[in-house]
Amino acid sequence: MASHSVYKVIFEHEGVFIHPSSDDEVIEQDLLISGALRILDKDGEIIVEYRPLEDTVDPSNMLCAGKDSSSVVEWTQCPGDRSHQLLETQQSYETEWDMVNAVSFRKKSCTNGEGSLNHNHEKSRWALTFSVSDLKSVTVKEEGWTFLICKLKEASTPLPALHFHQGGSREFLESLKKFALLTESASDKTCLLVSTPNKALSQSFENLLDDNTFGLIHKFRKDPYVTTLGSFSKVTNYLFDALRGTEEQHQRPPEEVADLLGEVIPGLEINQQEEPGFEVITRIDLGTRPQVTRREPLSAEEWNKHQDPEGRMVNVPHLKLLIFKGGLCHAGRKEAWKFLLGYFPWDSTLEERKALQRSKTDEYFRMKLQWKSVSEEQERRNSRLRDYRSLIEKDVNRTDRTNRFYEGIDNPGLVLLHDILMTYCMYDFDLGYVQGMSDLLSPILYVMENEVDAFWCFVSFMDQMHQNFEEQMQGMKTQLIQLSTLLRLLDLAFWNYLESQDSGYLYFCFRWLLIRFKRELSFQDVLRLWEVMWTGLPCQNLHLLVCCAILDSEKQKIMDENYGFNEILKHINELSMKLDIEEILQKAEGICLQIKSCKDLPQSVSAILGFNTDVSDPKGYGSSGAPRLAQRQEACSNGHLRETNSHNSCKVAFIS
Amino acid sequence: MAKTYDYLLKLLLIGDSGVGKTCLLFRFSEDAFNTTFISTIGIDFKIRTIELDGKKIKLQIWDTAGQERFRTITTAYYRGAMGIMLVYDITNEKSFDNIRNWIRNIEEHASSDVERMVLGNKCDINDKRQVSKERGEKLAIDYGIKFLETSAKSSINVEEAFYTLARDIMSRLNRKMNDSAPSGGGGPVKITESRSKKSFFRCALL
Repeated sequence: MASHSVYKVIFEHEGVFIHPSSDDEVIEQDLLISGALRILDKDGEIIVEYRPLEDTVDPSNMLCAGKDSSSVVEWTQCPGDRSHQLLETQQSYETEWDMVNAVSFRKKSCTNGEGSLNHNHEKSRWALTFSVSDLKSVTVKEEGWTFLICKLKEASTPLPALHFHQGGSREFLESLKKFALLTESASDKTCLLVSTPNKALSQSFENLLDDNTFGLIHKFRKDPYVTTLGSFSKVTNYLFDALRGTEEQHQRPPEEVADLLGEVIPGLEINQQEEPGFEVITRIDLGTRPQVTRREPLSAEEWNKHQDPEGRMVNVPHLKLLIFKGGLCHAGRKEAWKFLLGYFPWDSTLEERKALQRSKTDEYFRMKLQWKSVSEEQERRNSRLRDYRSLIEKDVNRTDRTNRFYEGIDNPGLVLLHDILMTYCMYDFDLGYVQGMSDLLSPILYVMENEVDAFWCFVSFMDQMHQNFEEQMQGMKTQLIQLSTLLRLLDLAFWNYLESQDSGYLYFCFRWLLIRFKRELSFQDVLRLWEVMWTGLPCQNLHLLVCCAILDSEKQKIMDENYGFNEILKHINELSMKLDIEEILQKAEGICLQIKSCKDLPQSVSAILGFNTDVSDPKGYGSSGAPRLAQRQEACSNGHLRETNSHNSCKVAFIS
Repeated sequence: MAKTYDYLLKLLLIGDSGVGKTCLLFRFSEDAFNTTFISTIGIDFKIRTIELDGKKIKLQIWDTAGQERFRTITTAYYRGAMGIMLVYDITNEKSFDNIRNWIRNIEEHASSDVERMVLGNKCDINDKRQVSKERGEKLAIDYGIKFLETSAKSSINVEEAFYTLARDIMSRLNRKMNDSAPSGGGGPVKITESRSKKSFFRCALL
């Protein structure tokens, strides 16, 4: 279930046709394939998907089709070769990341998709799926109707043309522009070159220590327009990919550079002056930050008032609001956390919960028995289990040892911590144990005082944090990019300062994000922050606003003292245990309200904080697409999207 | 403001999780041993200024997380390091075997002329020893690098280790400076890693 909920349909249009060519003997001539074209947000990855009508059955299957079972492969002349090639590029991509002895694993969500796809093999012959980041260009042609030819970066053969007999091509391109920069090719006006800035960013992360990258960036900097950008050196990273698509153009019109800049930095408007190469940069006015107040923690009594006679929780939104505003008193945590983390459904009765706990207890001990019953002999032949065990033993001995629950040598808390982490390895052997996980479990176990409940609550928490710990640490990369987007909006001057000190990548926030401030706050404050965070209020990704709030308090000192790269890291590390959680939460909420009330909000920021998600429409179908489009167009009129209509033929449009 | 140091050297501690990197650093920078251990998440550094041949040498020592998962992040910090301490735990065979992997890692990601040193830590716990001193010495000879057994807890050889590494870096630097300016007598040279700092971070994250 959980894996399905991360897909969001951003664009959907039926009545898109493929015209099989005459040499496709399988299909009778003159037959047109009719289908639906969609743009999907698959956990942050933007995917374009075409499905023939008769093939669109179970959305969960189609959504899982993803990269692994890539039906795109079927479009090549020699499918065997190509799939091999694809696999190879993927692998080399990975080896760059995993320096030594890496063990790679596939995402769970992909596995069930493969089977269903094979099952429908003949029908899905015309199905297409590709990631927008793999898209090289889209050629727009007219023939009484519009048809689009998409070309992928990796492939020489274009995908079959998509014929919009029932309109919708413009809407499709508009939607696409939200996630990619479309630039008219100089040589062919009908061809739009596609580049995705986020990909460029993560690429630079992935090309860790790759000297070639520096060479290219260096060369790129010789571009006179870009040199004027001065401290915006990060922009070159964005621009680099965008410009690479139009390499043949040596001279870039200044207004185009300005356009690109305006788009890659949310909240930036660039007014070009008469003097060439001189730009005035202004910011979006965010308005004043509202003052908010916090409440007293929710008492156990108040909690009970929100329960009906059968034990169902009622008026849950109000309850969550109370918890968000004040947290919980300690006595109420043991019960409330199970709901907040999703172990207990809010609408379950007491009886149902008892039954759930019984079955979850069985399940837990079944998994616990699995590692408990591994003999020494077996373990000698199982290096991964051995490594997990050794890491867990080391970390259990180093987790919150000053807390009375874990102090001393023979504290039972230590045994529980160990056993739950070992059982989690059996629950998710691919992930196993990664350092930092003991920090996430410790407060939960402390509150639950019960092995089974603590385990299942930890499982729920790990569902949220999983990506941070995976081999590629995608979660960390995404969060750092998101945080950087927010910081640029909130205080461009500060962000520029960080950038000037080589700290624009915000690496100093790594520990904050990996273990959700566990090492930064006192144990009691961690409990408060986490329960507030789990309410999902007042917006998604509150923890990123918590980062912004802390940095907001420190930025003056950092800039006044002219801290460099090392001093910034040191200063941030030394904030540990000196932070006031109530003050931070107050500020974070204020920032949220401040951003929310801003009318020219860049799409990227709204997406991070979830302002566009329609809560009443959990699947993200239908209504959520419309307001997003409306807002996007509004943004256009504010200079985030500019069209140059004079002599130069380049159109630049990008809404991140 | 008076200059507080003549040279700034960047050092790095690497090795498997739990071998005692943070403890060695704590012993060297604070001359103390904390029995309330805590695993290192992310990265941190400590400073200690020492004196060598009448010169004040500021050592900036970076401490990294040991688990392999974090290696992509920690290797970003190899650049600009002038000296690397490779640490294993004498009571843990695996951590010793992994030293070879760590060395390979350095070869890939650190500058080629970085000074290296191998430390076999926890030598106070002799009754749980799994790696003999001879094996440590042999490994060091194989790679042509210096070796010491240390104990952060009992404060054995910790000062020696860092002083040795710092001295080796300084003599390498002096050789270099003499090569490039044989007349000598130039102004004081401040050694920093301005270029490399930028580059290793440029690609560090995002």
